[in-house]
Amino acid sequence: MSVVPHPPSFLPPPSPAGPSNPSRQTGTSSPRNFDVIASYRRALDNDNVAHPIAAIMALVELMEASTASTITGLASELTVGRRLLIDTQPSLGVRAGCQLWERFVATFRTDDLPDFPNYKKDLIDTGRLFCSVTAGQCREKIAALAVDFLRDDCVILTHSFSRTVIKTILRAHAQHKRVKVYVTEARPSCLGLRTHQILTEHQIPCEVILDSAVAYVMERVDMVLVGSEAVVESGGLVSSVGTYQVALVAKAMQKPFYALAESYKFLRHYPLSQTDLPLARLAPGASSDPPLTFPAIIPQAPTNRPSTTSTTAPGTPSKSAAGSIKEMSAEMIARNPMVDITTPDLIDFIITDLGAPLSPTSVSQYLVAQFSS
Amino acid sequence: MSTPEASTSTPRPPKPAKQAKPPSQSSSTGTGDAPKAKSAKELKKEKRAAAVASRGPVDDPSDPRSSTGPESATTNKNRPSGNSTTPASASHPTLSLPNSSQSRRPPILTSTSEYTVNTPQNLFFSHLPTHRPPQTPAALVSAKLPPLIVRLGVLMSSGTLRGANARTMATMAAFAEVVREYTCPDQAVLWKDLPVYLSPMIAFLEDCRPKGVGGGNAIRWLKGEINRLGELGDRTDAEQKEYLVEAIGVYIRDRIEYADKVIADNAKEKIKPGNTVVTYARSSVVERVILEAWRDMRSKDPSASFSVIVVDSRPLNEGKHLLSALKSAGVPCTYTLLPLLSAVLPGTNLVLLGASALHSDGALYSRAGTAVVAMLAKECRVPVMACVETYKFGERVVLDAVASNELGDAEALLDIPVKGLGLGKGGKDGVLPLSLTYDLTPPALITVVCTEIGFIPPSSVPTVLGKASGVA
Repeated sequence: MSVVPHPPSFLPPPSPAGPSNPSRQTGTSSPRNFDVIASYRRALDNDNVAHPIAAIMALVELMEASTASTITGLASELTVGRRLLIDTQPSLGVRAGCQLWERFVATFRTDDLPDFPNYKKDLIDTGRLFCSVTAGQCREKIAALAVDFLRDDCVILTHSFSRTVIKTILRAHAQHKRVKVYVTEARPSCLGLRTHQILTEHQIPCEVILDSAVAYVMERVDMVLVGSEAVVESGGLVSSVGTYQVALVAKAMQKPFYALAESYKFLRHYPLSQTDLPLARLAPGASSDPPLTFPAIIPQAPTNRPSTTSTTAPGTPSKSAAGSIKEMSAEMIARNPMVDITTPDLIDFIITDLGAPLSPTSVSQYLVAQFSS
Repeated sequence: MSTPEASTSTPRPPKPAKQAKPPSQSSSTGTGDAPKAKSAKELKKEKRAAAVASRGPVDDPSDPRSSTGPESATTNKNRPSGNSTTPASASHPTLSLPNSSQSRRPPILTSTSEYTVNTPQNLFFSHLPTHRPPQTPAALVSAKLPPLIVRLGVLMSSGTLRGANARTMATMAAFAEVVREYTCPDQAVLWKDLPVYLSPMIAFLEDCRPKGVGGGNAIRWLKGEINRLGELGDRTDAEQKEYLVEAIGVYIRDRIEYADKVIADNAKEKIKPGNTVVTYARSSVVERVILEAWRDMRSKDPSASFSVIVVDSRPLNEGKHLLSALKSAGVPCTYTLLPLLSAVLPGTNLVLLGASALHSDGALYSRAGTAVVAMLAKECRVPVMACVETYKFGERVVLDAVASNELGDAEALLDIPVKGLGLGKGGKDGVLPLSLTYDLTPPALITVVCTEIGFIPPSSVPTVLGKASGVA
């Protein structure tokens, strides 16, 4: 779970983003003014809730609030809510969660409860149960599986922050395995520091390294353990930016690279390149270009976005007044990707709650078996 | 290659031992077509034709049409000599007798021998079916095949009808027509008689051009449907025929037409504005993907554009047809030949490939040259997308393109516009032409397979196959 909590400034504020596109849709099929996004936010406030689960919780709440009296009506409301979430939320986990829930609703069968209120109640109960119990168990299962990969006295490199990875390391620690951890700083979110904080609290030797020092420490590392935001059909990982290069270095130095991913993060999408991701339209004004593409015309001003010309001025020189040391401005950082795709050939195993660790190719087999009918 | 030997009177070292068997067998068992057909099967190690042709008489020897129809038709030519043959006499006539049970054999034998004498084949590939013109008159007169089927065979053999989808659709549509025209004889049961009735047609078509994995799957499905009629029972012949015709229509629609539509819908998302797409030869699905991507992109943003590089090769030069289709749609195109691919491939964004089949290990069986394209794309780190309908998924594992392939038209290959080479009539001066139609691309070179059930890596083919067989 190395989901990057996006800096608040890049997230669309719920009120303007909501009405902009989907207001006309909600007007037609969602009678009550239920705010899926606010519900999703609320769910995310709990620190232990992953993005897909938060999305499912939001959709379950939407179903609860819904006044539709037929299955079709409910389904169309659900579709509207799902679209809204997918279109506005940048996390790919949301997409995975929505896909999962939609698939679940589509295949949900009640044998003895044919009437609609009971059907709906059943559905909501199952959804809630899934979010509160099953989702929590997933991490435990993964940690139990993954801890066997950690030998005594081993050195682990992890990237950024992942609850599952931390859980696994803590479990190994509890089993009295001596574990040493290198964790990357993981700019720009700098969540590696959070990992460091948690691990040092538990007296696990932990060292924060620069993202640029990954290759330097790799020779001392026994294995790489990362979490993920989503697992795509090719068996690749979508996770916080930098994972791909960690994987490349690990492959070059022949260190095992293990990914931890809950099965609800499996996403039906097959990216062919780094830019081939279904990115949400963040703000109406944001360019649709993938991150870090050169502008077609070199701008006269530092950026050609009208809204930011004023904000760039204080951002660019940054803290260093001396001028000799420059830092990236918020504007520059915003043009960088938040996630990257780790290709399946670099991954040794994906450890999931489905049982035995999957090879990356088995992910597609699982998804084909689940989703195609 | 065993076929031409049969009709020529040159000594055939391995044959006589076997040829001694049929007479003795026929004398011991008396008359009947079944033993003869069996011996034909033994003699010819060609699994493709023999399996189909012999099934008829062996399955249902009492059936009036299947055994007597072809038999009586060929009697004019072969029966007299065959009947007069004593077990000890020359082996030649007895050899042609078993052939006569397979309606189309005798005429083919004579002409093939002439044909292959002209163009010697590389012995390494001698097991592959040769490209040869179909035996139209014989099929029409002696085997009494419906003109529809014969016409289809001619179209497929001549290359007018090319491409796995087109051939499979035409074959299935023709069979629907045949089923509609078919009347079940009085003593026979439809679901037992119809396969026997169809098998010479299937064999004839196979002889014109091997049907490939996709066509094979379709025909296997058709036979399965006919067999299911037996289980359903309690229907009039007209109802059963109606059911079959309708089922064939649904098969063509769902497995090919809709599949292509879904594949185009999926795959066009991968072509983004400003991209350059490379494709090799011609595939109907790839053509559709590119055209729909173009239409889609243009409708969203009239200034957006992508370009296509059509890579082609001799002797078929199929890319020309794709090129003209794309040109008329206004897609910016580049046309080049395979040797120049390495020059244009870096800097492109996607390689789109069609396929004749996708085997269960994920290996792509496609037009010869595809493997080279995929290999270069891997080298240049350009993603390779194969567009394959699931009906083309084969259950076999194929390790190379030598074990099963098709020999192309050697004449076309040797038709080199250079004077003084003396290759005009082919094969002379010790030149062995080698023209294989397909090659095999290993799964490691394919990034993604686009099917009607979504994008899958080549490693997921067995899962799809298992699912399909589980449903059916």
